[in-house]
Amino acid sequence: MYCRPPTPYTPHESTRQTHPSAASTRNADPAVNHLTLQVEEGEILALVGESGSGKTTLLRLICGLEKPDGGEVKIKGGTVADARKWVPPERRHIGMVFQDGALFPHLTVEENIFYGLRRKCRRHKCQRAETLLCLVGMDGFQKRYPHELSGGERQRLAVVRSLAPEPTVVLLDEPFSNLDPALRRGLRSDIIRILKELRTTAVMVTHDTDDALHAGDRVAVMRKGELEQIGSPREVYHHPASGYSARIFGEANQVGSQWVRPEDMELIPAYAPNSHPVMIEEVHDAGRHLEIRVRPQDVSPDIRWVIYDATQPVIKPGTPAWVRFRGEK
Amino acid sequence: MLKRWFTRTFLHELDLWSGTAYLLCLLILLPLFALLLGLSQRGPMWEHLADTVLSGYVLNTLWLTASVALLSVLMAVPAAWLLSHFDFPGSPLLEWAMVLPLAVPTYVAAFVYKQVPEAAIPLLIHIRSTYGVDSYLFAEGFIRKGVLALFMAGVLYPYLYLSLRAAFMVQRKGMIEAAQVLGRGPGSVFFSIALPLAHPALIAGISLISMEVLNDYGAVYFMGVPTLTVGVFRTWTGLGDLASAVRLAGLMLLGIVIVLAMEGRHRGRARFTETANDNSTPLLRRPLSRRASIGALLVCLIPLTIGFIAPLIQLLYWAYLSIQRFGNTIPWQRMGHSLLLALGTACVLTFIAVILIYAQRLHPVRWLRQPIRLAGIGYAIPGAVVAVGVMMFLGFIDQRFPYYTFIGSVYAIGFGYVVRFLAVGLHPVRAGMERVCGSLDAASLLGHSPTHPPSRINLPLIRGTLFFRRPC
Amino acid sequence: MQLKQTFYLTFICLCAGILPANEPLVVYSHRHYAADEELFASFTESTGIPVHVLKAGANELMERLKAEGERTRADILITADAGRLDEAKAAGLLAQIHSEILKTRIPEPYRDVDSQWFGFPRRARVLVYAPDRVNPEELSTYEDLAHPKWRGRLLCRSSNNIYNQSLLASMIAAHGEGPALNWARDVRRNMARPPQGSDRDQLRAVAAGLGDVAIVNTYYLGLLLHSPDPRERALAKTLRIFFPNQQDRGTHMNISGGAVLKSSSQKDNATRLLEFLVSDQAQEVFPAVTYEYPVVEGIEWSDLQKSWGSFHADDLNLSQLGEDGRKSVQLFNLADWE
Repeated sequence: MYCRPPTPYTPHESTRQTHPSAASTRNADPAVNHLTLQVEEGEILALVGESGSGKTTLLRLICGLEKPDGGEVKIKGGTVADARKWVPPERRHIGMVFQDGALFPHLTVEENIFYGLRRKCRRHKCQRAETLLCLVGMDGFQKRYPHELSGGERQRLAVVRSLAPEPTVVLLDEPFSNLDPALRRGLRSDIIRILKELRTTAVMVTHDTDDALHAGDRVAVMRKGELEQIGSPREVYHHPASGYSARIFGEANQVGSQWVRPEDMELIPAYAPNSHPVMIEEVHDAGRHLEIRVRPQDVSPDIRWVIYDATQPVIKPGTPAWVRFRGEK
Repeated sequence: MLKRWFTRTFLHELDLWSGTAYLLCLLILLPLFALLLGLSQRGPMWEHLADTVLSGYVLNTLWLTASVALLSVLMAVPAAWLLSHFDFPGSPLLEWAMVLPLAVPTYVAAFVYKQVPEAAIPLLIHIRSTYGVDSYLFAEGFIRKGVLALFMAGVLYPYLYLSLRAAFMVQRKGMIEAAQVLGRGPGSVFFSIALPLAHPALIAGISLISMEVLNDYGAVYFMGVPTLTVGVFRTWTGLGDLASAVRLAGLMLLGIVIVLAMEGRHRGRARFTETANDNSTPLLRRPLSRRASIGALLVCLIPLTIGFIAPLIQLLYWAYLSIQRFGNTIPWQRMGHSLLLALGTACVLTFIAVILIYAQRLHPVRWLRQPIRLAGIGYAIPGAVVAVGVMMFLGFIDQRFPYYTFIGSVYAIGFGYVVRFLAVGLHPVRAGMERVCGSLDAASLLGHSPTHPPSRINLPLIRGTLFFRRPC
Repeated sequence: MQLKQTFYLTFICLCAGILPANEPLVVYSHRHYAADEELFASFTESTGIPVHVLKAGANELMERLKAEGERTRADILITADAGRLDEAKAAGLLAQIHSEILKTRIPEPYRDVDSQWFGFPRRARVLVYAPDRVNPEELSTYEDLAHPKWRGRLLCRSSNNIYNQSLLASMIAAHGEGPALNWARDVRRNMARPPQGSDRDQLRAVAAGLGDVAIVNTYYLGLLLHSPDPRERALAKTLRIFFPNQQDRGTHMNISGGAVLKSSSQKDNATRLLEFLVSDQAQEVFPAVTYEYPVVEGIEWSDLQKSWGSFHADDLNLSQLGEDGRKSVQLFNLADWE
């Protein structure tokens, strides 16, 4: 009842979501708005943002658990949601990993995996389950029930279950947030490895920036339902486009119009450009000049400071030092 | 060994609460023990029964229970599912209105619905004249028994509806969504995930309905389907053989115990499969399209009409006819008596249930848990059988306690009600207490004596369930 | 509602049970008619003795009386049939009442041989037929209903009912157990449908054409003719009554009767109530209100009863029915008459 003839397949686009004004709820303050996002085939896109920034809503819009009020969602060139059309989740061929795993407690590990593989022969299904379970080191767990698994194993199973039907795209909604930090790191690298090995297109929502920077081929920062910045983890981290996206990954300082990480800055005495740089603790833009905090042992009365900007060297009058950005540039 | 048990686990856990609870349980169970003693006696008519009517009683009981259970499933399951997962015009009203058939006793429904087989008489006559007597007898039985099963299901399905809806409401949203995303349509999700997860509630509801069917006397007698209950009465009063009647009742009791044991095992496993931390939000109700809304309304209104609306209209019509002809003769006084008795019993029941359950929480020991579980069994036993037990027991007391005659007093009725309906009180109180999380018992660690928590903390918290919950 | 109030309510309800009761005549009655209440009210009016009636099913009353034994508050037991009274007599619950009034006014078949119970209204179990399908010439006796010509034409209620048990008991008394069993089996075989419903339902089924002849008590036709439902009244008008066995022992009769309990402390007052019930004033109420026949001869019947005509009643002493009642349930079981 929802299907229309699919639009021609566009090879360069695997997944594409366009939301000129997509809103998940019918109120004046939409959860997702003015947002255009495109995910390439085989790419892992990490979505970060404060809680309430619309990340999860965006995921739910993509997989069809929510209906947009406007805008469109395309998967492999085919529209699954726009003003006239809405494909229900079960026909979108998307995988989803929920925060709590949402495993079916009355089904065994194997049956959980089989659940998405409906019209396949049993031998094929068993084989698929075995391959995937091997991949996460859970072979032999087929006959267990979810309540007999540890937290990490459950989450692995949730990922495996979503991957089993070979979905076009996998959506991961805070997949590690219920785990303790030690487990988390191992699981994260495992899951990235699996996604890469299977060349799966994935969108992962997380509020943990560490997860985002590690897992994402690209990172998208969302704020109040809008896209703040998108780019490679390095780009997003080292060159935040705004204070919001800068702050979300930790401490950052504004230098002129730019946002700079403290570890990207160095202080070099002006009279001795080749001397040992002094680490900057914090930079504060006080309007006419910068206030720079350094560690006490680095302060000496006869040092004069010059600020130096690597991209656009500016020496402000009366500021007696150089500030140089470390890192790539 | 016994001595050690006595001092270690019995005396150690004995205090005002556990002692009172234990005595109450004994008091409630004594009439049933009296019945069990009667079971060993072999009545003079037993062989006659076994030779003639027993198999008929058993067969009728089995098929009636099975078909009422099946029909109630068909009525309650879709309605509970629709009303807990979807939003459509009238759904907030229907959500509670679906419970109304509980207000219609089966024998009243029988009085209304016997008109259906009667209305079918012209059809039956036609069948008899064209297809012969055998087809006619088959059709007559089919219509009559079908109508019986249908209206009994229509009156009893709310038990299942209530327990299922409660189960669906707390089901995790993520589970359903995960199934959808994995490529299953709403129907498939329902049958593969929602219903299996609600299995314990399904079994609990069905067992309640089965017990109500077993308990029924009026409707089955009226519709000419003699079940074991009819057999008990007939043997007791018609043949005057109480011992054989008690035996028949024992046979029923056996079946009930088996059903209960199965239900208990099921529940035990379900608790096991429930995942530990469940902090996801309950399901949001999805709005339905107009066409789907009409379908959903029909699905809910059909059982409601069978169980409540149709009987109500018919009864109102009869009341109108009667008032028109004989004037207003509403027996206010009798209604008042019934209400007072019901209210009083309900209060006493709740009171006893609170004592028992709280004692059980204070002393989670076996010698208290088993009697309390058993004390609720009266609900599974037909009222008539309970009445026999209570009579036997009170008769015994009256003979030895000459200052007051219990039999024939309000207390005898009240006691009978307590024995029969204690489970109705126990279930919600237990559910309420379980929901009030265990940490509240920390109140006793904070220096309150054990008697304080129920009044200060637990009771106010479970108040809602005390007044509104039904056994489910 | 607050919890505290609940517990106060509990307390009040508990106390309400011990409220002192004055000393009226306590009647345990199985009859559920408004007419009875009128009768008791006029008794209180004429004698000043208050009457307290407790209505319940016959089985419950019997069990309760047996259980209460000596300490029952009941003074009088009233039932809708003779079998139950006989049961109470056999259990030793009833007192022997020597009352000239009762003895002279009630004909012998309708009171206990040992003067322990007494019948007031009589009921006749008759055949009701649809005149368009049955020629009254075809009808003759209860025994005749076993004939194959009635195959699929008879209607009767369940054998759980005491009226049927009494009827079969009268067959046992007349012919012995074997023939009675055969009769029950044949009648069951001739039925148009398995036994179900009440006597009224049998009447409606005859009117609707499902069967041709129903075995019912006369007053049910009276009740149907005066039903608040106009459709029922119309149906009832199409039916006719036939009194069977007029050439031999007569139509089977039962009574609704009363007895004074042995443990009663007010036997004299209780006897006065029984005597009141056979007075002309009381006896006239039965035909007029409940369409039952008065037990006292010479009381005027209602117009309806007159239209049914006079009949020859079986003069079998109803004391017999109690003993054969038990037997009849066994025979019904053997005959597959549910």
